[in-house]
Amino acid sequence: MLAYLVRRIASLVLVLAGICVLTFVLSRVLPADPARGAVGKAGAEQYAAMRERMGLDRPIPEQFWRYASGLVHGDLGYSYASRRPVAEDIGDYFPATFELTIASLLLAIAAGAPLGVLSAAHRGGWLDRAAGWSALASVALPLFVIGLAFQVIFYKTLGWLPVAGRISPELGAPARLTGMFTVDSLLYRDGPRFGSSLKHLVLPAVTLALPLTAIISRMIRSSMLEALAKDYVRTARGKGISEQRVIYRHALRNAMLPVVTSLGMLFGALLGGAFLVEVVYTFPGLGLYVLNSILRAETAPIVSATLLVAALYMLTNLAVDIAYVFIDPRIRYA
Amino acid sequence: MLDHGLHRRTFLKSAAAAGLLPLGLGAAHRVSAQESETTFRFVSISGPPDTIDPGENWEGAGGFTIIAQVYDGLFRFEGAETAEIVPILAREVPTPENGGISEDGLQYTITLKPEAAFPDGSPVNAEAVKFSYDRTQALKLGVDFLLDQIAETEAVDEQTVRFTIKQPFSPFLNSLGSVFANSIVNPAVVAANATEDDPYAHEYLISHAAGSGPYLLESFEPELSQATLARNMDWWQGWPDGPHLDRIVVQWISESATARLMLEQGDADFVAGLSAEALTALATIPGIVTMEGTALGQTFIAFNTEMAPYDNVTLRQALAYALNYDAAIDGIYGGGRKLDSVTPPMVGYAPAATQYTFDLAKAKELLSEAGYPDGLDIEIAVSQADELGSLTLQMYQADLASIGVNLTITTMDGNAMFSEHLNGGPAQALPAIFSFMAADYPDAYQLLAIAYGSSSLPPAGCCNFAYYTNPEMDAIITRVETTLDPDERQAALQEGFDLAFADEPLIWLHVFADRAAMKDTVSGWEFNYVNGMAYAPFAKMSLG
Amino acid sequence: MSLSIHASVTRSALALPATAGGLAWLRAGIVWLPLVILLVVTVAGRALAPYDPDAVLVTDRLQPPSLMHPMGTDPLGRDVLSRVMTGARNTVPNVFFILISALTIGVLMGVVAGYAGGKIDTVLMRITDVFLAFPALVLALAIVGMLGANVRNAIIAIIIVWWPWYARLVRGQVLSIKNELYVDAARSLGCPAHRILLHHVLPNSMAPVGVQALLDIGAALLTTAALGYLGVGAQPPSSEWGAMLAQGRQFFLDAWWLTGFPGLAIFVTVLIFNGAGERLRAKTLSGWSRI
Repeated sequence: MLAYLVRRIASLVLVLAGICVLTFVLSRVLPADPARGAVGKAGAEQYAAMRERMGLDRPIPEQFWRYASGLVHGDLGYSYASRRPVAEDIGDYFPATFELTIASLLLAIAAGAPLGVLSAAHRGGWLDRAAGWSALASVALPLFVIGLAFQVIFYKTLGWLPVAGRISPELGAPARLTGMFTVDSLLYRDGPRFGSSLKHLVLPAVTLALPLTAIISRMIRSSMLEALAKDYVRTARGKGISEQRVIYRHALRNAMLPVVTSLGMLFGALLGGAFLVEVVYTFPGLGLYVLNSILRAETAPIVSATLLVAALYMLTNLAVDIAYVFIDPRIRYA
Repeated sequence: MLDHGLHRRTFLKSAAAAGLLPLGLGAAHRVSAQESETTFRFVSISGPPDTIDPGENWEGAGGFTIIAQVYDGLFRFEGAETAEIVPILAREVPTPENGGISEDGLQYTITLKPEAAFPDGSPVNAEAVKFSYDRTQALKLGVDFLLDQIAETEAVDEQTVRFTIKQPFSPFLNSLGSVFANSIVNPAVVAANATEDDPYAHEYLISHAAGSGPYLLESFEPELSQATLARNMDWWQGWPDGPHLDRIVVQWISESATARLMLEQGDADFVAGLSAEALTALATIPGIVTMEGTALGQTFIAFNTEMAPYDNVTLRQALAYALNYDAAIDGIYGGGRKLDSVTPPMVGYAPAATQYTFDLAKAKELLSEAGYPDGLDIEIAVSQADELGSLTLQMYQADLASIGVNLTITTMDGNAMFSEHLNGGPAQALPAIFSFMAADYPDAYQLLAIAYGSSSLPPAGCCNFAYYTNPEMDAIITRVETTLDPDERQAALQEGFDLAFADEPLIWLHVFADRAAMKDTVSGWEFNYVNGMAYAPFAKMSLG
Repeated sequence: MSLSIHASVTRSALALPATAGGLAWLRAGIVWLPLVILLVVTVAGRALAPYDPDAVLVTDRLQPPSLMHPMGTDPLGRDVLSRVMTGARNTVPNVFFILISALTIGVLMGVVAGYAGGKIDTVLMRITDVFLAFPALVLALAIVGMLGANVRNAIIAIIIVWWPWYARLVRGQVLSIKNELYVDAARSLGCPAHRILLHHVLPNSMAPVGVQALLDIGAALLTTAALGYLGVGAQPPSSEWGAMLAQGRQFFLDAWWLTGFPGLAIFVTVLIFNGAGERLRAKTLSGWSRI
């Protein structure tokens, strides 16, 4: 087990290094000029000064070396758009995306799991059919169309929920612990801020959760159906155990396995969707940050943010693989 | 932080005016802003500013909203239709008659108001003014370009500042009225936050304020796209009686639909930068007032006159007749004023002798004359963020197709477009670009010089996008700059406008409309022609 | 959304309780007829469209849906229905191109890696690891952002992001096939490697991958549209559906039809391809039951 862990981590580091090179190389293919972006329409003298400040006149290997060695020391570069180190920017924006993604995941499991179980339990019934068709629809609809529709329904027409930002600007951010507003305000028992940040989180999280709910519910349904047909279930039924217990104690636990295995991949898909949702709702997270950095031709934020996402994705997959050992005792890693 | 003496003075002024308080009681009690505080929610449809350091900021949408409120300048512009230069920190507008402008036109002497002070009590004196101008010039962050004419800033005595300029430059006074590059910072605050590497406290001022304006910067959170202003109770101009805006929450929202919904739902009191469609829709909603005015932003198509076939004057004229100005202005932009000169009405404005209208027959005729009877291929680049510009070019494309001209529209990232067009000189620049620019101060000279003068040629200067070099035009520009005789100046300007429109290196389209909407409970608002809707005179406004 | 997940939803959603055999032709029709219509519109859209999709008439701008213009008009007065129909030609073939390219590259890499094994396999798999470490949209966005925002680069970006999935799939198949009896037999008969690859390994490993690709058409379309919506895909005046969505974005509160109908077109197309892909899968691979 330990050997497996060590190998996986070594592999992770290697891949991260590769990603670092890849993203840096890509960033130097930029047609846009970050010095021009920072200095606007000002003249040649100011432009040349800015180029020097940004280190753009050095040879490329030297630029990469500066960036890479900075990374090792925790220096992720500097953003001229926000006038701060990228690390600080990411420190602000990443928790927002994380909060959104986790909220969506929880919502999707909370809604999708029961739906999947019930669909399997009453296979062929009206619930199963309805769930099936709406699942199909949810994954076919573009996320941004769903987002725009929600804005019109829940904000314009009903006025129930806000559609921009993470918290009401009058309240401002809560005292910082994790950077996730809902969590922080909860920990500090800050009622008004908790309410406001939660209200701002609802629409983006639900939008993002919609396709995922569909996927999770169908996944659970099909693995439940498989489990229900298995021998041990027949045995349990034969023993006279109630149908309820059969479903919930025996079949469900095994049916959850594929969901857990796919958790890593689902998380990755969520991250991609989160970027889109952030744009539609002006939710200031990593996605909006990366998009704006692309538009301003700022390489450090793009490279660092992408690296972070990749690292997170890989760590999640690793964690899932390890957790799997505990869930399914039949698995052993050499 | 509060200077007791100063504060007492302002409090007593109002109390005495109300005839209420015996003098003894005025001393200690500070009129608290906490009692029944009015919060005003101002939304600007743009991205948040990068910086609010007045020695650096040069963009009209984001930082402007903050800088104009927390900093004062020697002069500012007021007026809804035209621009009047008004003394703020200065006692009066210098003229040759009152001795403010020297005979040779090289020295501008300005007397300051003695009561002007920063919130910490230090006076806004000549030292502070000199410090601020020197600082902007030393930082060299781009906006110092506007101060290029200044050779030296002197603090003659406590209340007198003298600018010495390099050559007689008649627009100089007007240039001092621009919010850009002309804000006065508190040297004490800079000194307190300076470091060895950063002697001008640039890092600090990127996100903090050090001004003498009616509002203080309570918080600045660009990562959340918001900032808060609080009323400066120690404002040296004093607050008149009556309700005021105690706190202003500024939010920068880039999705215009979202901003609009916020106003409709009551989550915002004022939204600036709306589209024509949004304004029409909002006008039907009770409780909301819509406003529209034209500010200083102008749209244009610039041809690279050093690149064939755009070096052909007759061809450019032909293309100018093929643009459907009215359809673009009314249909696509939903309003605005067609440009009949290099600038809209302002100091020095006069219509040009040649005018262009939408006339496809004439365009075709000129096309043949230019040597392209069977049409040709042309290319114009536009920024990806410029949705209306893109639509205009698409319409232009359809019209041009009917006379045999095949237009390719290249959509590029805005920064990339300017990089490519400005960095390598005319040979490596783009064939043509669609963009907009705005005068920094309302003097027709400025746009004539920066759009047509050879000293503004990129990459060394800004913003002669057409790479137009004409010694005749340069001579005209020099005459405008150096003459002190107003009639001679206007005659030279007229020649400049006529030449600009005859040669047509740029096709000017229009001055675009600036649109905003607010709750009908807002009073005291006035449109500012120079600053546009991103600026509102908060100090004069009230809610409810 | 990522590929295989997409596929599983489609499969389980369509694997609803079987209806009586007599209506089988109706069931088939529901899937195949829309596909045929879609293909016809894609190819002949311009000829079938009621108006010239590029005809600008600014006085007619932003008309809501009516009898004259069933899908309304856009900010330049162009008929949205005509643009959606001709837009199919700009949208759908791109998606096919992406999949074919990604498949080609992926299969090549996967076969080589799987069959050669050893160092080559390790290196190639490390490379795919690097690409697979990113959520697809994030990497595609970064790539297009670097290369420049236009439809060609968007296509390239998505191809770059997707080929690793297929490479992995194929490699897995190859690994399990290469020790099969018939391959062993061919090798012992002295068959050269490339012939073994071409005639034995390739055909047998392609099947599941091919089906996977079919089911991915929908996902590819959604990704292309997402890039278009963000403004980094096809640019105006293109009538590509993603670009239409991007242009309509600023008007969506007042002119919902500008985003509504292209969005609907995307939705319907994804559904059609998912359905068709699923039917094809069911017909060709009776034994294929795993993700």
